[in-house]
Amino acid sequence: MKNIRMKVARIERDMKQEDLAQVVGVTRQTIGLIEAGKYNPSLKLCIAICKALGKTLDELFWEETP
Amino acid sequence: MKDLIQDERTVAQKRKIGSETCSLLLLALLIAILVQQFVLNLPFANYAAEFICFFGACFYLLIRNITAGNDLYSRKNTGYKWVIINSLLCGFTICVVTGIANYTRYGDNTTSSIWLITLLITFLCGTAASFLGFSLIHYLNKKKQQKIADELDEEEDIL
Repeated sequence: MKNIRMKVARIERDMKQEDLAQVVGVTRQTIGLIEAGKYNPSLKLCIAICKALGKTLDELFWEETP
Repeated sequence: MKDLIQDERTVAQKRKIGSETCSLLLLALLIAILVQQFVLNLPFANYAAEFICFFGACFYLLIRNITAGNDLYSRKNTGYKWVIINSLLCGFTICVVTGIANYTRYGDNTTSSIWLITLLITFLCGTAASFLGFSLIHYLNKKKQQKIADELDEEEDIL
């Protein structure tokens, strides 16, 4: 499932995938795969992304049940 | 949920053990090849299996990493510098290894000038061959990275 919230949060911060990847310390491909929902990041990476985007884990990664 | 967490840990640990085993096996193969070739002076047929396995595994590792999209030259714009450094190091290693092997075999029957010229030619040929190989790897890696970047650009434009 695509992580649209992460993509929106990144764009709100006026960051490109490359910028976020540099801040977090991973490759751009990893950020792209997380946003596309093709890679499950570790908790450590999730926290690093949240800190970089100024969001909480809930805001970016919690899946709301319908 | 508990099972899932335990699974992740054990799967990661099993993969790590597998990776360590593979590294140890490759090291053992390399040592076996070098010992048979240079210490025991055995003909190629004796260590052909180890030779094929070692270089086959190295080739597989390389190709899989490139096709999986792992950037082999992760530092931007310094890729070609590493191609040159690696080529020189490879040329030097080939020169030293074959130099020692040749000295133990023919050291008594050669003059020092011929010896030096042989070493120089070995170094130049080794460096040139390595440079071609590393350049090809660099090119394939760069092409794959560019393809991934283009795909990511396309996806980013979709929103």
